[in-house]
Amino acid sequence: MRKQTKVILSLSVSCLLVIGLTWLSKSSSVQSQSKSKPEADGQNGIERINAKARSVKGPDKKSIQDLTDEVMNQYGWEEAPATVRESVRDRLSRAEEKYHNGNRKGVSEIDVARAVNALAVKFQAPEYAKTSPSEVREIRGRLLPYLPDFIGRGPVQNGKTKVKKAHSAIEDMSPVEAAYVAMTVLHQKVYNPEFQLTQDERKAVWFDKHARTPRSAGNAYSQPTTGPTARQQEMEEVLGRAASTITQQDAASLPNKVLDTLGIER
Amino acid sequence: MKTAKRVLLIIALGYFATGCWFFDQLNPSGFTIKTVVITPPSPTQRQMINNDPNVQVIGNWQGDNGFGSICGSQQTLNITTGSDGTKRISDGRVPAVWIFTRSGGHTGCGTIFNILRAISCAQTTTLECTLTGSNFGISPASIDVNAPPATALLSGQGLNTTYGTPTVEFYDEYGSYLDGRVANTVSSDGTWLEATMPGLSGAYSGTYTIVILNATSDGSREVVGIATVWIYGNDAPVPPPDPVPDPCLQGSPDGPAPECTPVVY
Repeated sequence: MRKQTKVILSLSVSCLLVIGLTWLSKSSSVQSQSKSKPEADGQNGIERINAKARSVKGPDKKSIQDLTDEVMNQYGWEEAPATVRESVRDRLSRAEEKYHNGNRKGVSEIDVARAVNALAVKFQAPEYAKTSPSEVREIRGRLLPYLPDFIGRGPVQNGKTKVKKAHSAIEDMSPVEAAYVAMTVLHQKVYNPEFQLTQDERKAVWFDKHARTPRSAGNAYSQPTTGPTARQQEMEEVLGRAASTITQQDAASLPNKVLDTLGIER
Repeated sequence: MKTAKRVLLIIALGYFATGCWFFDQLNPSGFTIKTVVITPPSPTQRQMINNDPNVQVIGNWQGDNGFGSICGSQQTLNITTGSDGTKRISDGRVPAVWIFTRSGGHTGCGTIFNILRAISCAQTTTLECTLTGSNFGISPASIDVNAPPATALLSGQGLNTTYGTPTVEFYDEYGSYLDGRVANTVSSDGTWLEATMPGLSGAYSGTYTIVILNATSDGSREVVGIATVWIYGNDAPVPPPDPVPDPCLQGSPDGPAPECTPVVY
């Protein structure tokens, strides 16, 4: 009994430490984050990312950092410890500058798929949480109408992009686009039942959607959400388990490992 | 001294390895609200769910629901989701049925009333806004790939001819660039243009994206609008079922390409 009391007491203290450290890291980051709060420009979410991508006219540090902040904040990086957040932001911004300077190649869909799949394996997520390069491309294609100044834009210099050749595949990703796409793929895998599919299921769905297509796009596929599906709940459990078992050291080093997989220079 | 060391060790392990999960497990409380925007699906495309940040959410508890003890006591809320579209309601009363109203977020979402959700302890509940379309319309909205029209009419706002004639770019549903065309005619009030259709020979059925660009003084890219068009009449062949060959799934006597070998974190 005495032993149990000690364990509970110890965990209470460690909890206080966590709360204290989180509070400290948050309050120390308030000033640096305040500039990335939404502006009163009527834009929100996706529109804001596109506007910040449009502002990148070349290897300009300020506009690239603004875009990087926006992309990271929309996936909850404001909550991450300041040191980890800054490190990721700096790596991405530096690589993005090099990309627009013509000093580095883009990131391939293969690398994004490898990074996502490695996370799925690490956190023992089900098979349907894994992706493939072709699915990454599909997601980029879906994002294009909403982020035309960001997705597949290619290197930009003096506001100009490379002249596109007819019937050419989408450009490789800039480092910041790759990070955004990787996070978007993960988001679909956690929250979107239509992307929680194994490779075989995905092929079956693809066949179903592409064979005997109708004469009109219509709106028949829009379905209201009634509640979380079993796979959504399972993925939430995976996240919960990951959050409770990952060590702080591992959590701090993981983003850098993902960036390594994407080929982003340290 | 020995006891103190043991306690310190437990603190360290508790902090580094477990955080506060232990107490969350003992006493889970409240729930998390997540506002998302759903891109409109099409017959050939899966819907996408993206975060919708900074959405005002008003919620009212309707009644307890399900088994298990009640965690939380708060019965009404009026919050704005954060930059990642989430907000934790740490004292929200659950398991229960709540009714929500969401206001703002992505353009076109407006205010959505009467969103009913059954929520359990520590669960994330999503409040969706389904987008309905692009900011430019196109006529015709559907095109038979075997008998395409010579031109298409795109209507919206903000077309500008000050520095030259706007151009339109055509992309397939995987982002591949089909071709671009300079507009043939642009209305003086900047609300419509007519452009020649690119060659669609060999194009498969699906939703195609049209990006409309204004000409600029320095030749930079200025997107003024987006339209989508449904193209039909040439279903993709089967097999292969996958439109983009996946290099990491192709069988090879030498095994997968080096870039496809799994990474271990």
